Amino acid sequence: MSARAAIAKILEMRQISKQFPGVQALSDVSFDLDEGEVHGLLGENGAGKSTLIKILAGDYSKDAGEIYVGGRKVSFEAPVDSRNAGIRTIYQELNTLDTLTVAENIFVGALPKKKLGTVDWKTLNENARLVLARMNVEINPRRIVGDLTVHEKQIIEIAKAIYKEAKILVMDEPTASLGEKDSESLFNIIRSLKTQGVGIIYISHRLNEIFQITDRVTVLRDGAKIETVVTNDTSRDALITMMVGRELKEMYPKRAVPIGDVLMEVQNFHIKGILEKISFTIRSGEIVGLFGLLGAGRQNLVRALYGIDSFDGGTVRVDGKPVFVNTPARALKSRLGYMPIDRKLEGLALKLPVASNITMANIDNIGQGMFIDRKLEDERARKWVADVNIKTPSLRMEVNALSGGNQQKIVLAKLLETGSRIFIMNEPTRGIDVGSKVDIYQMMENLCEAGAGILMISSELPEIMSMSDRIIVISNGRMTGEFTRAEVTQEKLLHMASI
Amino acid sequence: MATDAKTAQAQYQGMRKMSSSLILFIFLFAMVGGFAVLSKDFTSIYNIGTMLTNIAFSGIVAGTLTLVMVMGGLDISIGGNIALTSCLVAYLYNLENGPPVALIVVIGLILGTAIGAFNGFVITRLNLNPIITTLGTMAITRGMGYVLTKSRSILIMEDVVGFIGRGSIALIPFPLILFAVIYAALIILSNKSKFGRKIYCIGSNQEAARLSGINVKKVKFLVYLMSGIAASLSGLILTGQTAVGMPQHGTGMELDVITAVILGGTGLSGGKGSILGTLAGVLILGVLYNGFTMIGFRYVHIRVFQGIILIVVVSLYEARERKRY
Repeated sequence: MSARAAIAKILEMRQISKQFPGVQALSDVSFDLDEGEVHGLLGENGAGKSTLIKILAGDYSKDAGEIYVGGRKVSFEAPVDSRNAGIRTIYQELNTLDTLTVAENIFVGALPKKKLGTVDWKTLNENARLVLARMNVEINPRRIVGDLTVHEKQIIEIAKAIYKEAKILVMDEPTASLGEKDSESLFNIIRSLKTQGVGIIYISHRLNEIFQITDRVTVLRDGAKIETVVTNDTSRDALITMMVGRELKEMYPKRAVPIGDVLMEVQNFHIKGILEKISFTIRSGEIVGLFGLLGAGRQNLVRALYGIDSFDGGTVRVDGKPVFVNTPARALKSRLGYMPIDRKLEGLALKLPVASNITMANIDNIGQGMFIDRKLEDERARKWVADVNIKTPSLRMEVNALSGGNQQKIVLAKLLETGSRIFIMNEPTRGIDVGSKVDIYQMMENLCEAGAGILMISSELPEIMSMSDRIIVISNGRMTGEFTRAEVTQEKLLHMASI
Repeated sequence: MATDAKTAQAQYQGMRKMSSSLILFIFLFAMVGGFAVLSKDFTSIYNIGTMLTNIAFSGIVAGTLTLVMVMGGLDISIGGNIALTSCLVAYLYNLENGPPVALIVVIGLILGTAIGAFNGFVITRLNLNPIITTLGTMAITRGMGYVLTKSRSILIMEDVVGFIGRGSIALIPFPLILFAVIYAALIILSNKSKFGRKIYCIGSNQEAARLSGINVKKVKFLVYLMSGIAASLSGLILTGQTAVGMPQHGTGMELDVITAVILGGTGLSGGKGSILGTLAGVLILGVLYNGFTMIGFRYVHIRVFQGIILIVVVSLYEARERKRY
């Protein structure tokens, strides 16, 4: 600890409070950041992380409290003040300009010019190369950003943030859309920024990462700070307990559900150039995990099974009878439901209320004839809000306004409302808080007990290993392995996934 | 139970948003009151009848256009549709041994249906952008109107068609009755029917709607079809009112209709909007034109007011959406 005291505090937020109409979003939260430190910020959705970050970015004004940057008291009236103080935020949703080059993106707004006012491309590209070199990455500055991977775009955003000597970098769930390899590469970048004295506030729901990359962790709950701890002195369980405020007996509430008859049988499923002869079954009461690396073909497989994309060969049997699914409507008719990977893009009508979203995939059955029976609709919606534990003040609330965890639960409720028996769940707990995750696992177990079968894609190893009864591994479009819950290990999965 | 910050914020905004149609109607009544004080003629039965008939004419297409826009689409072929319908009806009426008038009216409506079906087909099956598609249809239909009439106006002094535009039942102008019936139907359709719900779902998130098993193409096709039918009905009203079929009919009106829909709170990005809001928008524009004319302003001045009101109202909507805390 004595070494820590010697390092300068580059950021101190003292007793920050913020009230929104009807709720105290933050009360007396203090937070500090050392030079070259990675400080994790943990908390369930709605705990106040976003509010704190937005106050630091100058997006929100604070009601009370003080902010010191490098020992000097500052006051942020607008986002530009925060930037001038050397604070940058990399949001989950990236803001790259996809039609421009890498160099243009990094230096947008500060392009070097020649005497006549034209862009000095040579200097621009050289500067871009230098900034990228600071992070030990090589990306051609002349490439068009739209052609880059998500991870590379993220690197561009970081470059954009640090080229002006940013001292404080806020990263909001930077690995949410990254695979394992890209995450590792991101951590290397973070480590090299650390050595250059940049302080990083790191928000993530993935506890593994918190232990991998952070020096200290601050946990928020219901707008208050619970504790700041040195990462090495704490444990996963301790952090979860701090976050949710109760002992989570088990993160993964797997129950012993008897496995029954085959519900769905896929044989020699084939998509030209993408998937080769995939065969597997899903039984009643069973959760089948589908594992693979990015681009292995998992997404193509489940999209084709649900009738979103077309396929070139193979048979699918439901309850022993062959079915031909070429539209989502047909899939639903065979009682096959699908939970999409991206709730905002594919799952929810964000501008519509909670009730309309829940009944969206079953609207034809809500009322006789051509009219909607509102009473029945509310009844159905209310049932799922209670069963799935969705926190919303009203069924009329726009889904847009709810937290990620609650939105994901609405996607699940919508899926349950279809009355399906076979469920394809595509990353069912992506980017949501621990409490919501457990709620979703509970519901999956309930479904299994009721005789349903689940095919779950998950990139989170602990999740897929803990929740699946069986795991199928796909690599380069081929099935490379199948494990039971008892025999699976992380090494086996990763090995089979990279064959 | 702890409600999180985002939720409370939304609740707050939700309460404010609910009253947006109400605010429009209050504004409307204030305008009516103002004009009633400023001009005696404004409240005369004759003037109110004329004003409401004019409102009915553009209001009918604004109603169906609201559905199109809630769905995230757009239809700017309305004016061309109106022109071609009026030209075809007048042309058929003036043919020697032409079809009977009742049939001509039906043919006019079939034409509108066909134009709507064409738009729907191109947009859903060929996956073309709706603005581009209906921009094309706008040119095609208006051009065909000129070809059909050899760029002349064709007189059509006929009782049935005249009744559609100028007739009345129990002193209520017939176009106004059509307008009321259509709006009642559209309000029920958009608020109570499964079909209406699907329109909102598609407008809010087309991909989510598709993955929810909604037949997106079918719904879209039908909505464009409805827009086409409504436009030809407006074309019949205009033909009846003016007793003439001509290719210049309805020139530029698509922009006024879009203005009315947007005033009513329907955005261009879909998922939001209401028939009631559009009703307010249509009435506000109608009263604006009539009222200012009655107190001595000219059309050109009122266009300036229309533009200002549009920008002010939309900027208020925007401000409400992006309230900074």
